[in-house]
Amino acid sequence: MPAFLFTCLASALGALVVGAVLKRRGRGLRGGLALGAVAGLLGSLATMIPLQYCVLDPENHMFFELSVLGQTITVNAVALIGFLLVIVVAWAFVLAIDRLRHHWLARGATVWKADTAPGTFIGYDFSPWIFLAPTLVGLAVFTYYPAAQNFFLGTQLARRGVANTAFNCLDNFASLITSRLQDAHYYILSDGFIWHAENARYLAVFGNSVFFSVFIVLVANVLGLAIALLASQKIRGASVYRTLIIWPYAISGVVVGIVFAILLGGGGSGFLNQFLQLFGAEPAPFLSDAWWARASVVAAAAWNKLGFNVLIYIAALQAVPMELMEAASIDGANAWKRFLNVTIPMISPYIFFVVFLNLNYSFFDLYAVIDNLTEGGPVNATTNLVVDIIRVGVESRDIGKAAAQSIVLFMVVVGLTYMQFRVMGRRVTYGAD
Amino acid sequence: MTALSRRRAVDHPPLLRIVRDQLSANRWYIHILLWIAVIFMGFPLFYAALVSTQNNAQMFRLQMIPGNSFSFNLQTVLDRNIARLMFNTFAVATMVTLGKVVLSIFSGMALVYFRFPGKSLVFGFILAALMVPGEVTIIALFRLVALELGWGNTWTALVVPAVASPTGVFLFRQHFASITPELSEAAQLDGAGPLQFLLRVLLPLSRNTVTALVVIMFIGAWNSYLWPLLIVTNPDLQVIQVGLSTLDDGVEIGRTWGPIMLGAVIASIPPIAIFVLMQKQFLQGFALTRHK
Repeated sequence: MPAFLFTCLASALGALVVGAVLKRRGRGLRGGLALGAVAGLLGSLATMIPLQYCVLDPENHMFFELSVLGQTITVNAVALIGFLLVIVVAWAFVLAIDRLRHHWLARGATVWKADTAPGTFIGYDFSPWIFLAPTLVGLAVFTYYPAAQNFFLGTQLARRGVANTAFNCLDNFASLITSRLQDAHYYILSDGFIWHAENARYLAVFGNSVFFSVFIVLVANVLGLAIALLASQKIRGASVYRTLIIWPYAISGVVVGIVFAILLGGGGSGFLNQFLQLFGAEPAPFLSDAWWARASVVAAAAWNKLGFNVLIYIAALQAVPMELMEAASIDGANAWKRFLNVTIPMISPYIFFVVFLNLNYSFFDLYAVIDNLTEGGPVNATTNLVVDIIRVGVESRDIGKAAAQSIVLFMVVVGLTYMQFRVMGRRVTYGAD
Repeated sequence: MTALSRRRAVDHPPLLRIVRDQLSANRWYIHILLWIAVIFMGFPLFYAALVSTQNNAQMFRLQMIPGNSFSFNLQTVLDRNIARLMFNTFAVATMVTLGKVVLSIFSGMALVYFRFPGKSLVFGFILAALMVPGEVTIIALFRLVALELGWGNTWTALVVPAVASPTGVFLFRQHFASITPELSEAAQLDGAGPLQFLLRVLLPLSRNTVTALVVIMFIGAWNSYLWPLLIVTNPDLQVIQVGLSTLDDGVEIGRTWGPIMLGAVIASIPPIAIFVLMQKQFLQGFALTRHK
């Protein structure tokens, strides 16, 4: 009975929200209502049937406390995440149905183009499937199946090395935001949402990932562009300089981590500290202080990837036509103005490309660097999302919770990809390709 | 375009000549700044190479000249079987690269040179996998490979899950699609089958794309760390990236950095050599994945 009520409520709410949104965008109210109702219905069914409506069971709860303007409210994290999940899935249904409808309408207008496909081999019906089979099977078994398995394992109590699992609703997700239940305090102020995350471990881990990404992208791109500006000049030995600058890109994260460990080593024993002490400076706790350690990871990772950025930016800068620079120069633009108003717009597609590659790298590929430089420490200060998945899933053997974290990471991928399509789709190229 | 530049070469207007001089910056400070960048980029590995000739005492004394422990460090890494680790890495990286290239060529060919129902769906299925980084699936993959397939501690676990490559398929599909279809029509008229066409016509035309993919994939496979760390515990099967931290001499208290640094330098030589020698192809590979 509560299940039926919940489904009706979700459908009604969907109709209300989507109807209102589409009306504001100047589309019909009736269509919006219908779309929202269907999406709310499908969204709630698609989430709640696999979860067996466990979210509605009052026995499934993990509370955390929320302070709103001095009042303390207790929130059920399981229910909260369940409802958020329904909203996300329903929203995905809205987009998908809208897309399909669009497609369907457009299909009537345009003549379906016959695929003439010149140059295809005739009379081989079977061979393309043989050619494709290994790739398709490989992707299905080793990419898609584990990805789907994540969603199953995320709702299970599963231990590493044990085949049996048991359903435990959304506890794996809820425990991400309520770990150390009593300590996680949230404060909602009138002007926004501020949390005190010292004790909410997972939020801190998430914050580390964001911190690394922002600063690695910033450092590697500013330095990379600066070096590329120098190295792309028409000077003697330009290709030698380029080679001498870009080669660290091929070094593995492990070697980067180990080498930076002896460069930055703590206790005054690392190279940099000894070097500083020659000038009478105090040794800095590069790897033992939380912020210094984070900065060290950023420095090591940015150094590693700088060569790649330089390589791409040199290629980009050399594609900027000389005539444009000459014209700007004749118009009286100085070097800085030329850089800002000619160079940057001309190479903007390359900047987006490099920034997104660096973002992907710093979100997903930092494990080797961190594991060999700081081992995630001091006290989780440099633990990012991927390092934490390995800690939880492999070292603490909690596969269920690690799978839940993997799904959160997957949401980040989806977000980044969506951003990439939006930005790349709208980018201004000025024909610099 | 040629007429324009020829005219310019003959008579430069004075203003343009001044501008040209201003823009062509063959100035001494650019060389200085570039040398600073070269030293900045080179120093970490240079220092690692320096430490690889020293013992801990010399390293902690900040001795900036080569020490006397190179032969001891070399003996240590040889005792710790670095040759085995390097061979394992080379073998695994070669198998992964070869598998990726071969499967990608066949898939790319199927997607361009054949007509079959559901082609765009298949392509979408392959492309969507680009969106899923290995780190997202690694926990479930670990469970699948170790528990359900029972491949723990084998090279199968290192090679097989890695050989299906959406990047590679995409690369070859784009490349094949850019080759004029008249070639395959001519080949068909001459009575060549798809395999013959592939061997005689397509591969010779794809040398650059193959090289680009080999460079990118080999460096990636050589440097992979997390997956072998999880799935292989047998030191005889282990790869160099995971084995580096075991290159200690095990005598001194704490880590002996000399042998570890020597190992780090040795492990870095193959990828750096390939990357430096194949810069152009590497860049071209990325350019191919970027366009369209």
